[in-house]
Amino acid sequence: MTYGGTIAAIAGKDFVLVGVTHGAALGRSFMISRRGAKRMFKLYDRILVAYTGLYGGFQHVNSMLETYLKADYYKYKIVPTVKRVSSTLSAILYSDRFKFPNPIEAIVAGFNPDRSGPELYVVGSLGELIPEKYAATGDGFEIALAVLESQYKEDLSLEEAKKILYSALKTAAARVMTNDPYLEPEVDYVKRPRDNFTFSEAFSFRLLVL
Amino acid sequence: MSRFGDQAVGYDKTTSMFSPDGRIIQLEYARVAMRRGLLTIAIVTKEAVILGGLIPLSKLLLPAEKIYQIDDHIAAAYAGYTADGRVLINKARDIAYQNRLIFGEEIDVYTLAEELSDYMQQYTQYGGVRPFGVGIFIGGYDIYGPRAVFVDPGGTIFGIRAYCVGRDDEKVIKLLKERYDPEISYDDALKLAVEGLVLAMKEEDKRKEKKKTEYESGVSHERVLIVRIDKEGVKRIPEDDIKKIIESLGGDSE
Amino acid sequence: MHGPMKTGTTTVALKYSDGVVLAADRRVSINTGLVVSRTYTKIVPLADFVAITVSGLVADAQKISEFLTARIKKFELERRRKPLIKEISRYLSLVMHNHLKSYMPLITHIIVGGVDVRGPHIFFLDDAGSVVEDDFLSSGSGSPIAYGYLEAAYREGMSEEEAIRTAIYAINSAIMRDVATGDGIDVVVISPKGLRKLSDEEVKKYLRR
Repeated sequence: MTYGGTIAAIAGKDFVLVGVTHGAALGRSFMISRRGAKRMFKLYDRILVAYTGLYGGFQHVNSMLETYLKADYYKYKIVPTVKRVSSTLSAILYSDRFKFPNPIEAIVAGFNPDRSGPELYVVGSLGELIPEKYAATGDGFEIALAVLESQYKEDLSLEEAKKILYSALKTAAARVMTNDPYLEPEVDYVKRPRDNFTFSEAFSFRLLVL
Repeated sequence: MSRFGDQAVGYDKTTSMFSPDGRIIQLEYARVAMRRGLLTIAIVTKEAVILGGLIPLSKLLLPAEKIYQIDDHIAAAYAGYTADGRVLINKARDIAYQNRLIFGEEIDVYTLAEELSDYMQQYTQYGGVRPFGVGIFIGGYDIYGPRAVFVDPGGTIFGIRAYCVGRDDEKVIKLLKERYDPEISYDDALKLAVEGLVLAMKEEDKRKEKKKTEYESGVSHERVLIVRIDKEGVKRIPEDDIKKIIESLGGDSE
Repeated sequence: MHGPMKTGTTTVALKYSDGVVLAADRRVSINTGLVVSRTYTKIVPLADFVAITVSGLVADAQKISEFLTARIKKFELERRRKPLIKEISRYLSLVMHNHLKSYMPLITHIIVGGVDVRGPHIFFLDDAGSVVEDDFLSSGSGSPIAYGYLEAAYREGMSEEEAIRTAIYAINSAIMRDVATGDGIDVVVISPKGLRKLSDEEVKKYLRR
């Protein structure tokens, strides 16, 4: 079983920034067994979801999340808000509360279909849902959070935020052995979209007339 | 035994009983219900599947949906009893998403049809239920390329090249028989699909039956819905394009 | 018996220009350090286009191989096509994930390798149900050693011969330094033409060079 990775995120004024360190260590050992495995996903070009913890856990959880959202999209014509994505994720995780809770945590951040936001949620392994302005979870979260805590302020520009996030993740990667120090942290961001979300033409029959 | 005879002894009252000459009469009624629906048409070309249909148009009611997206790469349309069709559409979506969860890949068109037909077949073998009054077209672009199938109310699957079901389908099928060949280009196929739908509208107009209801009559591009399903996914053919094709056919498009 | 049989094992899989090479040792041991088999084959062909390498509990690995072979056959009959390597991997990973979540994990690491319409693919699956695709992979107790060799020796677009040699050298390094790995090397090559198992003589020839 492979674990590992630190994730950190900052919600700015017109952007959200999410970063992950790579590294999935085999069991409790310190061998990097999956170099550069994917742990951050983008939805609808306006929401970022990043996971940490048991690799085999969040791969399946993410597959379920994507499928549920796809069902909402095609069946009920629902484009999810950030809250809805994180609530869905929370529901998936809580459904295993009394069985085998997946040892994973996630950060969900982004903008809503009506351009409002940014919103940022930390989702815990039992489905806890906590809104934040900036956050870090995963193997080196104490270290990453210390950096964020000391440097975060309101109204950061994207460039300033990127700098802070990189230093938070690199510090964590340098001091926590289950992180991969040889791969640059992967950082992605979404900006406040220019337009409201619209359905693609194919299934907008009803919406065209409303 | 005559048809009247079958009915007299109640073989048409349930799907769980064959008539003495080996038919399930309720299913034949279901097919009649299916063919009462507005025309639905599908044509497969080398690059894409064309799926089209007619919708009722009314000043008082909003346009209905006719073609439904099932997944990124699959769309479906049905002819027949709308409420039954909607249930099948949602069932098809569930089947498609299940495949994603299990295999991490998009479902094949034919596999989707088979699983949907398993579901529909159940309604032809048990008492106390009635079969679905719809035939459903499933068109998609999967690992094989563009493919389309038709599932009838009994759950029989037909892989199709060009086919249509609905009101006045005999005339349109005759048209498809004359004009379809497997090498048909996409543009020609689109034209053929529109021509088929226009033909159905004209036939309907001849009978004047719509005049009695709240629905508009006559040939109108607003009543035609067509989607194209190719490698990129499902895309609706813009109304203007359909209008142009109808005009080029010399039809009386408003 | 002193505890369940385990294949301490080193297995490797790597992609080359148009196929995949799988290689593994043949040693099976138990907890006391006794070697219970010196001829066990850890590469199992599931069909003529896909094979898996196994490490971990022998019992779990055998049951998975049998079950998966049957499931692939069923898939082929149902869908009239061969499954994609990704489909096989994702399906098996779900089975393993569900086992973990019912507190009965299948204690095994599996590499699925093969060629489908999309080309050559290899996937690593662990007992928690993760699936990772990569250009080269290794599993088992000797995998750190094999990875050490592969990191240095692997490059994209190798010829079949180069790929076989790289795989054999990686296993050989592990045989030298990992006590749970040893007793000969099995090599399976899967190309669009089909699946081929190398004979002992062929493997020896590569080692001599």
